[in-house]
Amino acid sequence: MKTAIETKNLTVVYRGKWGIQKQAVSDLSIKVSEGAIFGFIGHNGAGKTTTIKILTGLCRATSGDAEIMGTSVKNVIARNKIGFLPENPYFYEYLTAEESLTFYARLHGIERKEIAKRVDKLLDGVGLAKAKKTAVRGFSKGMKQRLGLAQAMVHNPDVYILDEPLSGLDPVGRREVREKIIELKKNGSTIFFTSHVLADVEMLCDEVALVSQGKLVSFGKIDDLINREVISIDIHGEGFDKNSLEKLQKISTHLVHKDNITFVTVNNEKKAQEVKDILEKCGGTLRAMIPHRENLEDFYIRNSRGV
Amino acid sequence: MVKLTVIAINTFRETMRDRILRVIVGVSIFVIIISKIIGELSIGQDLKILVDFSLGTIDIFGVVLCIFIGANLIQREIEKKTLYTILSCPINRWEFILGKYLGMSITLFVSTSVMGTFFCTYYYLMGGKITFDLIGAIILLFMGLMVLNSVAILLSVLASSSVSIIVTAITFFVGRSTYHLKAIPQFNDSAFAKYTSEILYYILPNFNNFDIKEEAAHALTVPGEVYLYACLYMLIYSFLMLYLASLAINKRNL
Repeated sequence: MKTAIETKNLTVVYRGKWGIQKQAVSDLSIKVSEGAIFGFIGHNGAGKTTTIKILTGLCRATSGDAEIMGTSVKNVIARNKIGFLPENPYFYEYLTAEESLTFYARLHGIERKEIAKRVDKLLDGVGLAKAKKTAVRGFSKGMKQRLGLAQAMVHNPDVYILDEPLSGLDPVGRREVREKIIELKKNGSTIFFTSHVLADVEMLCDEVALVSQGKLVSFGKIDDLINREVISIDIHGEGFDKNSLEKLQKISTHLVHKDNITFVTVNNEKKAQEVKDILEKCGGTLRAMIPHRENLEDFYIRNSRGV
Repeated sequence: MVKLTVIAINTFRETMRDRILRVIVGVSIFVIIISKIIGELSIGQDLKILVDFSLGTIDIFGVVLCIFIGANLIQREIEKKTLYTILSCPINRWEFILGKYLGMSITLFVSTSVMGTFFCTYYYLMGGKITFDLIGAIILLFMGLMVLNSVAILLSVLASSSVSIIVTAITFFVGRSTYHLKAIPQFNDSAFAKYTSEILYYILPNFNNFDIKEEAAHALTVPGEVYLYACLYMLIYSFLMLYLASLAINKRNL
């Protein structure tokens, strides 16, 4: 499979106040396959936005290089291959949604006769058709986010770079953006995005990279990174007597007893079976038994701890 | 070229929607009207004072536009982050700078034309004679504004909004007094003062090259070389400022 985005030993050093140097990105090398949805995750200040700024030509790397579809990001042509949605997109407040998209379409060199049709289709696609003639100053945060997405799609690029595309959206808006990202993937585009909502990343992404303090911590397919074995089991039971509860206390990691109902968490299947046996012996009833496997959030906490 | 035009037209649209522009043009027209009344206080000099006052008004209000809109133009894009989505398009940073400059220049052209046309019409109705040099004086004022605009754009890349506004204003006032800078060594023997004043004389824009208000007020003929020199000076000085602004924005990490 071809590579859509590649960073090679990317390093960015900023000179802060009093000349103190800060390494925002350190020796970062990642490859994003064409047609994949790639999640770029990490704490605030981990270097995600700086990496995105290098990919979009807003920032220069101190050393190393990055390529978009084989073209160095130093070359202005690379920017015709990307659609970029910044975190909290800002537009000219005095322009209407239609004027904004026309402006970006013209900057991407799209012919005038084609623009009107494309702008209408895009605004319709992101649910802003009715706000076509409304000035951006009257837009809510969610509407600006949708307009930002339409702006990124205006020239039908091969690669989408989306910085926190789901932030500031209500649940309906988030679902719509998620569906839009899946639709873009179906059309063959590559999507590189950052998000703090790890459930969304897990749901959407084929591959992820976890960065911390500018360094790459983990990188690969989600299924390869996450431990899919059961890590804990929640048991809800009714009718435990005092003696049984004392036994449960010894084998559980977490126990809550209220109104004759008991919630127990154990960390393996053997202990779960023991809980079940205790319950049967005292004549109680098993209400639920829920196994938990590691998810991306567990992986994130496990890997970013202490880095 | 298309991208340059898109940025220029959008900048023009942005500045035209700025309330400060309408206020300035409105106030300047009001000042031109009352200048006739002030002129009537003098004996037989009313038309001369009308010319003097009106050209001064067109000049100073154009400068105010450059200072309050031009000196803010790039910095505002950086502060409001509108630059992010623009520079992630296939556009060179120098194209962005040049587009911004051209857009602001169109605004200055339109505002100077509106004020100039109003003044000429009013002057004619009051019995004045429209000469080539009277129109030439307005054209030269516009050229001076183009130079100040390029300085404002450079400062807007280098400094924060408030600093660029203050420094642009200082540049204009010192640039209007460059002849005084050259005269400093005559009154001060210090070598430091001599070299500093000489360096400043050559570095700062000389706005006197664009000032023929006196000649216009006295209906004197201005030689063609004055226009030619002013035109060349404007082109070279503006080019240098925009070149420096492009270098500065190229080095800048956003």
